[in-house]
Amino acid sequence: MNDLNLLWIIQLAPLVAFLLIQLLPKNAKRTAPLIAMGAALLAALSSLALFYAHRDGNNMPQQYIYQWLKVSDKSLWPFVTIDHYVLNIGFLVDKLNLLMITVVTVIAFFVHLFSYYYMAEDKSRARYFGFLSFFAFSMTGLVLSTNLLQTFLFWELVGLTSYLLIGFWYEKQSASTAARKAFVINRLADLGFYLGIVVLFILTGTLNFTDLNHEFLRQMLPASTLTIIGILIFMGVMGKSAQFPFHVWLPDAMEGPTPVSALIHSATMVAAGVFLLARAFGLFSSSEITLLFILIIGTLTALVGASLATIQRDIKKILAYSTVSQLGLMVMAIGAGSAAAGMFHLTTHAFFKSLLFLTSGAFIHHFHSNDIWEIGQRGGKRDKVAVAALCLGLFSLCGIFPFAGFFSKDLILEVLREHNLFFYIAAILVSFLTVYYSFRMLFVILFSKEKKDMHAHETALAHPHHSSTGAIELCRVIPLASLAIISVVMGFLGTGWLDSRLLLWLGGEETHVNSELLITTLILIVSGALLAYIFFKNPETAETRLTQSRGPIKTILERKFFIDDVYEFLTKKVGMGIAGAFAWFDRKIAKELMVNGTAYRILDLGKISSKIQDGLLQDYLSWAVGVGILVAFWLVKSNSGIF
Amino acid sequence: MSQSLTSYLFISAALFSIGLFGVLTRRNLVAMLISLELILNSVSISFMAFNRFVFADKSLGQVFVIFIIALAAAEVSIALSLILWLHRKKGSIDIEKAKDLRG
Amino acid sequence: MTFPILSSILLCPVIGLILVLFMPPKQENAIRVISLLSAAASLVLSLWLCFHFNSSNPAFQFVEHVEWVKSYGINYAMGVDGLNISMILLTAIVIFCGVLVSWTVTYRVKDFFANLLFLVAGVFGVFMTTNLFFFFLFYEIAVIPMYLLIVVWGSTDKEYAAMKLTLYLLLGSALMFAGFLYMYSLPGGHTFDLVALKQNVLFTPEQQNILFLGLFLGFGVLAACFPFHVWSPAGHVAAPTAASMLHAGVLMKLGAYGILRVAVFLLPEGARHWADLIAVLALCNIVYGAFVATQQKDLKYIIGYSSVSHMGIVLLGIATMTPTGFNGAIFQMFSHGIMTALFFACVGPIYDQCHTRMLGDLGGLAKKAPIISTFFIIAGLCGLGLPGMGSFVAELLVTIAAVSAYPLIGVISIIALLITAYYVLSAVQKVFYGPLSPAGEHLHDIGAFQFVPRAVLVGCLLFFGIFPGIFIEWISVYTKTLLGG
Repeated sequence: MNDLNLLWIIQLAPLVAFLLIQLLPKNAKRTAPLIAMGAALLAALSSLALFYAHRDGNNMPQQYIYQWLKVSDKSLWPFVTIDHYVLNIGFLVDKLNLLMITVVTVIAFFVHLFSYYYMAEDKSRARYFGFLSFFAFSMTGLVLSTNLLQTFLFWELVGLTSYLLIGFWYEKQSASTAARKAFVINRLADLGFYLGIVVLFILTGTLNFTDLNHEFLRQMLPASTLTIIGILIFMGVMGKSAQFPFHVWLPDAMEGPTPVSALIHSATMVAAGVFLLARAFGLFSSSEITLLFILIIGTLTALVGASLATIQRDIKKILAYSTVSQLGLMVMAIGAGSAAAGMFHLTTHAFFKSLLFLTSGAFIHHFHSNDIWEIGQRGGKRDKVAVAALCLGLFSLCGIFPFAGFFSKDLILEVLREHNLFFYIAAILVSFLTVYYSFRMLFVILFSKEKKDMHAHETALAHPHHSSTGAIELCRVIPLASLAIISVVMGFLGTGWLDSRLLLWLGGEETHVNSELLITTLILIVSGALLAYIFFKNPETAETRLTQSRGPIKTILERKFFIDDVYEFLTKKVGMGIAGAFAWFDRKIAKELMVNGTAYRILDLGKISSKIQDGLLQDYLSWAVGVGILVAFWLVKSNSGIF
Repeated sequence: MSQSLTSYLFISAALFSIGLFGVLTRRNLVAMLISLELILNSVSISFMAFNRFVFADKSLGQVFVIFIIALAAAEVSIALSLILWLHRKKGSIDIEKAKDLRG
Repeated sequence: MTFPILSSILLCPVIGLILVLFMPPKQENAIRVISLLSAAASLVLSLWLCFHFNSSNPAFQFVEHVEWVKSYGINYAMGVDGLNISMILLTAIVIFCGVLVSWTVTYRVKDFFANLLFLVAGVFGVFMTTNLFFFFLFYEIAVIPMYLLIVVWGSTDKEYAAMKLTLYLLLGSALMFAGFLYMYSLPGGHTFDLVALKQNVLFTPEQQNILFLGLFLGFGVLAACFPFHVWSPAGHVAAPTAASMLHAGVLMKLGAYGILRVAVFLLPEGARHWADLIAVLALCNIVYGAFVATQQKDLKYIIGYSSVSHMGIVLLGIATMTPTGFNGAIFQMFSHGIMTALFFACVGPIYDQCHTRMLGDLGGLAKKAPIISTFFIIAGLCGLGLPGMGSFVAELLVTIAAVSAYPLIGVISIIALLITAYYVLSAVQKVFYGPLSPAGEHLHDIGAFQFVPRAVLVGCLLFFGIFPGIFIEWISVYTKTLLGG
């Protein structure tokens, strides 16, 4: 089983599953989840096999390239001497890819398992599993791609599956609106990505990642051009990884089923942007300004995400804003120059965030509510498995030793501290807020007094819970447990205890234990948790206090920094204004004036001309005589010398 | 009064113009017909004049005049019968009334 | 003599037409079957042609030449090269699917299919001929049945739309023919044969400029070039489904085809002279068409303006005057043709059963008719340039060519991607998602038989989206030699 075969299996197994599910006759639709899970398992195992085969990190990168499209045989820009423009498609295998593909396929498999539990009652689950498989196919293509165009291709496909899955329950207006918003905002950001690719292609003739290194680019293009291209392609990252100000689609994307949020909107798709940053780091690092821009955007994102998470009531929204914030941190790390730190955090975040989302899914499914107060009041603390998973995930998120998040977040803080003190302080603030909102969520769920809500109790009884079915319950527990374990273990791969394996793999350096940093983070965690405790040790009073308080900060946070309002303005007033003007032009000028106008003028001309035909014999005669005289005059004149 | 071609042509032209003027301006159809006869007669004079002063040995002009007289008679009979029919239809022989064929 | 494949392809709809005309009007099913068989025959022959086409030969292949009026150079001449092979295939696919989709027409079935076949014969003729006189002849044959189809079987505002469409197209053809006659009258001319004109007539620069402008305007009207595009959305809306499929899918491509085949081929200098203007007009098409589409409330109007926008991409590709741009333009002609045929094939059943196309009246149709919804969404995704389908490749090629030739225009044209996504997804949301509207109560989905034509269209889109190399191979030799390079 050589590499190429494994790669094809990883890439095509989910696609085959998707096609099979579409072709299933109605009564066989029940097997759809099994087909999807089988494909996901196959892909995960193949990735692990591939990883194992290359575990010593030798003879990489390897590429398998197929020519896709010949673009031009002439130079496309003056003074550029390239005369062979070709677009390719293929597989790339190197350390970064292997890590990412393993993360993606493993988490995908666990999400497939969990979905079997979560979607057990949904009538359209065949469609769901089909889309989930198609997502796996697209994401794989993105991760294994060899060049920027192929990445863009699968980037769009991944965006499509995100659209289809966010709007999965399409009868809900809010879901289809959220799906459209996600797609359109991603499209907006991708305009920059697309343009960047086109410009880069025209000027250098190549989009291959193996070519896009520092030296090659510096030699081919001036710094200003590299900056522009870098920022344009970064725009795509901003859209996909929900960076400010393109982050607004991610919280709305929570309309989709929770396993979708776990897979796509926390672990894999949104991480694709960060992955691209690391993948094409040579391009971005070729200009200092680009890196600074990336750093600034990342900081803004991290701060906006963390601050908005502190006032959310919906458990998924808290996690969504938290994801925005953590993505911001990853981007900050890369902007500060360390792709290794960013990728490390991406890896750990993927596991603990998906764990957190699946946990929230367990809560939502069990207690029929997204609101953390309601979950707490309906007895959230009694679901031991979910609470345990929640704690593990949150502690990882907050960066508490010895969970994975501790190591990756500390690495980022360290990188930032060495780079620039200002951004380091911003990251510290973000970490503080992270601890605050995490513990807020935990305390509200744990400390809420259980209300004997008869209504909820009755619905719970009327709804036969699947804790009876062994298989489904397993599908609930196994993913949670596995992800939890990995979340714990993963972190150690970045530390000295395991020879900083993961870090070296990513191209980073060995870490040293920095006591100053340790103390800082410890203070952060303690103070954040304390603050949350003070506010939320009694959730009921906290709730009443929150709803009654007013103030500028609260307004700004509730209106999400007015970003959505800006988008609304731009779309409705500016966009539709232009559209309205064009439509007016079409109606009035093109139709009325040009077409109808011409037609009616010709009709008018005809009416005027027809007045000659007045029916009076003598008028006709007069005309004939008059013209006859003129003709006679002319004839005589031309034939003789008279006149 | 000298007897030359020009004076006869003058008379012919004058009669022709009077006739033309009558055809174009008279409202009464019979008056139009009379003017038309005038035109025809003016042409006859002109033919006779040319015959007498230019081609004295031939008789073509006189033959033509005979033709014209005969044709004029035939044409007038048809025209008068049409006027009679029009009078029956419209109640008048005013040409301003006969403008049904218009655009 | 080699088998006259081109005339055979042309004959299929003609024979079908004659047979249909002789059928008694009551035999509706027989008429439908005859039409289907003739369409299928032309499709099979076109596919055969594609397989036996030699991609590396720049000259015309499968040439047929029969002299008709020798002294005026009017000959029945047919030939295939990189440019029209894809158009012939496109026409064959669209008519095959169109006939299948029209199975549900019940009013005056015989006349309907007669007109349809007549129309297709004209279109095939235009694409295949290399003699300008026959080009004009077949073009007129293609325009007249369209009028009848719209005015008898159409819907919204059909009399006005049919008249507007026909008069506008005839205006275009008048300009076109005037150009042909002028070329005929030049020294070295006295023929209507395309290749002979190219070889014998020496055009002075002034002649090139004026002639190209005239020809471009004549063909541009047909290609819905801004600002002569208004006949197109109205025509789209009023025509019955199969006629819309042919109109948007094939008829509009006649214009762009004419520009390449006649204007750019014979008058490259003139083309270069006017290229800037064409690029600007194309940009107007792209951006203006997309923006106006967002304001429309009628589903077919949205598709109509989206067609205007996509034809802009074709024109922009032509305006770049580079092989890459031409490749993109021809590819876009093909994939847009298929995509828009698919769009109309989806809207047709909805209108037939819900009796409305207004976004406000429709809603939640995905619940009742998931298959139609899926096809429509696929068409929409192709329209907004989703990778994996032909449109993406076409737009990519045109964008690369445009950014390299007219950087500012190329950059602005990218905005269309965003606007198109907005109106397509808004339309999809209003029509297919959300709660079920009263208009959709009696909607039932299409069955297996009607599944076939739409599946064929989707298959074509996917095939050429995943393997664009095959298409480019057909046309690249032609585009390289078009400008004499």
